[in-house]
Amino acid sequence: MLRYFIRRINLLVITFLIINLIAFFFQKNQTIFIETDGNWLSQYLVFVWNNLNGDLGVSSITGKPVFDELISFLPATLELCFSAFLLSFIVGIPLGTLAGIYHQHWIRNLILSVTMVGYSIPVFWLALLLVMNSSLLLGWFPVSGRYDLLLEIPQITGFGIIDVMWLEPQARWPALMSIVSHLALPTLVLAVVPTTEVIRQLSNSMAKVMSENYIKAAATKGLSKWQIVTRHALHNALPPILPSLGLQFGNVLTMAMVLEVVFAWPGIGRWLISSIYQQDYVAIQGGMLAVATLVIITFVLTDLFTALIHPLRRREVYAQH
Amino acid sequence: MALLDIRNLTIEIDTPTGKVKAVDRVSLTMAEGEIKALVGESGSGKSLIAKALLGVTKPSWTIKADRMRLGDVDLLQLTTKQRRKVLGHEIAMIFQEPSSCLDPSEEVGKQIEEAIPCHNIKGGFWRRFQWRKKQAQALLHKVGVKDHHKVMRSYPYELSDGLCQKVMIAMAIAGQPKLLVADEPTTAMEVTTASQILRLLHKLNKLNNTAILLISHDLNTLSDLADTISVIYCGQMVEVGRSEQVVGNSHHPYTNALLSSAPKFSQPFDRKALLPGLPGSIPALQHLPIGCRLGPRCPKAQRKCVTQPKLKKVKGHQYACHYPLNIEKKVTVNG
Repeated sequence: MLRYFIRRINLLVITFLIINLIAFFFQKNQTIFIETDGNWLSQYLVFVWNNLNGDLGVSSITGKPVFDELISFLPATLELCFSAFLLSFIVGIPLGTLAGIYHQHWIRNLILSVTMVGYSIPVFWLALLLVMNSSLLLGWFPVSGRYDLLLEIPQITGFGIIDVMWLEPQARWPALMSIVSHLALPTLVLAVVPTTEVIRQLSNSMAKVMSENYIKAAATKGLSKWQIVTRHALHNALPPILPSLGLQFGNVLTMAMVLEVVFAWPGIGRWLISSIYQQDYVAIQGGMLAVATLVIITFVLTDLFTALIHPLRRREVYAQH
Repeated sequence: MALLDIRNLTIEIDTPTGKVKAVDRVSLTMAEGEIKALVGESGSGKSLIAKALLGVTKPSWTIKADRMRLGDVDLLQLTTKQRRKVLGHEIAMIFQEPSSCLDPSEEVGKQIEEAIPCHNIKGGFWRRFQWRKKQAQALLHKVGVKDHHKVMRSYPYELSDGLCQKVMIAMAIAGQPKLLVADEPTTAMEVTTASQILRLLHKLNKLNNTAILLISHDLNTLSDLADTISVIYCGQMVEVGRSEQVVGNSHHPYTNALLSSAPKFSQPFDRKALLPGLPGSIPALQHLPIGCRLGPRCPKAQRKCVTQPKLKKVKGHQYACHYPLNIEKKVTVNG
């Protein structure tokens, strides 16, 4: 396990260095790089060292340090991504399990066709449709923003749902409701693609597990179908797909950036896109580094988590050496 | 009264080429505390019988029988819920390839505990956890596992095949079933491990009076263990009798061929001599011959064999053959 851990951390470090290298050359081609003495290698090392210390430079437009801006914008995006992932697991796991159990059955075909439709709808278009119908026409949800403009929620952690705790007791509940109702639509739209991914992968993995011998053996022990699925099938089908779902995080983050523009969500996506319009290269580079690092860290963490909870994964690790 | 009474069990399987009669009118009776061996080649339908018995069937199978009773339970008329109650309490099954029949991502101890029925619990609910653990340990001791701490904390992939089979047996006997169905329990095991497992089954049979239906293809090893032997070929019962009758005085050419195909080391062999065996191979289920299904391969087949022989009974020894072997002339009535 320790060996596996070290290998994964190794992967993390190397990928981080490569991303830094790309950013470094990107910066060298722009003329904004402040020349230091020495050759490329020492310049690169200084660059990496600065990045590790959170010194990503100063934005040429706002004049603030990029790192501080990242810290203030990133939590809003992460909040969106986490809630979307949560929703996709809540919806995807039961549906994927159903589709996996009912092999060659109309239920499976129905679920997988709906999944295909959801997968192929462009996200921004779905967002606009939902805003048009449920916000403007029916008035169920607010159109845009993170919370009511009347509220003044302190930025402690940056995650609105947690920051509410620092408000006065009588203001907490309405503030929380405001945040949740603002979060609902973007979460719904953002969750569509990861949900389809969860359903697709889980149904395949589930169908494979359900044809295994130990499921048949469990049936002869007198367990009901429900017991077999919850006790034996699900905890063999779910962990193997976790790493590939972790990879989906990058995909979701990209979509979140598009959605932030549609919903005027004050997150890193909107900030990055406006930086691109303003040709604020330092900010673009800092944002890119932060997002890429986040994606790798998520992938490595899900991988390690899988190895922790799933003994078969550990066996594969041992089998390699 | 017989513990298990199956009369004329027929299993048909839907295949793309039409319905196939995989098991054809098989009858099977077992007394309480009996060890019965069901012997046949692979593909002869012996596992199908076991699966039909336990009700783990596929939608493409049609199962018909005149009678299928276990004690006073009619297995044909059970609802799913009733069947789940019967499974584990009255009848349990162990499989071939035991390591693939245990949940790979759960500790073995947990799986044994799951198999223990909670109705005979003693003491309050707070002692339930400890009680289950004790029971699981006792079960492991019963099947001859001494190092229960280590085994209970291992995952199935960390245990050997023989140990996995012992765990499977421990789980099967947890509900103290009257009938234990063992579907080729020793395939792909070393000879010493296999004999250990068979000895264990024998011990369980003697101690708990558990009836055992032993499904296998190895006639010679089973002959010492089993009280009665049924030989099945292509879904048809060809010979049934006490084991010394079937092995010592086999009437059916197929049983005879099975026995002679095992090498006897008492006589010297020629160098590179072929083992005696029947010509040809077991027919595909889509192309079964009419009449006696052994017909095309049988050395004694004659014209009459295109009609299916009925099971004839001589001194409790049944055989389905028009031209039986090892039998005195006057018994083979002029028909």
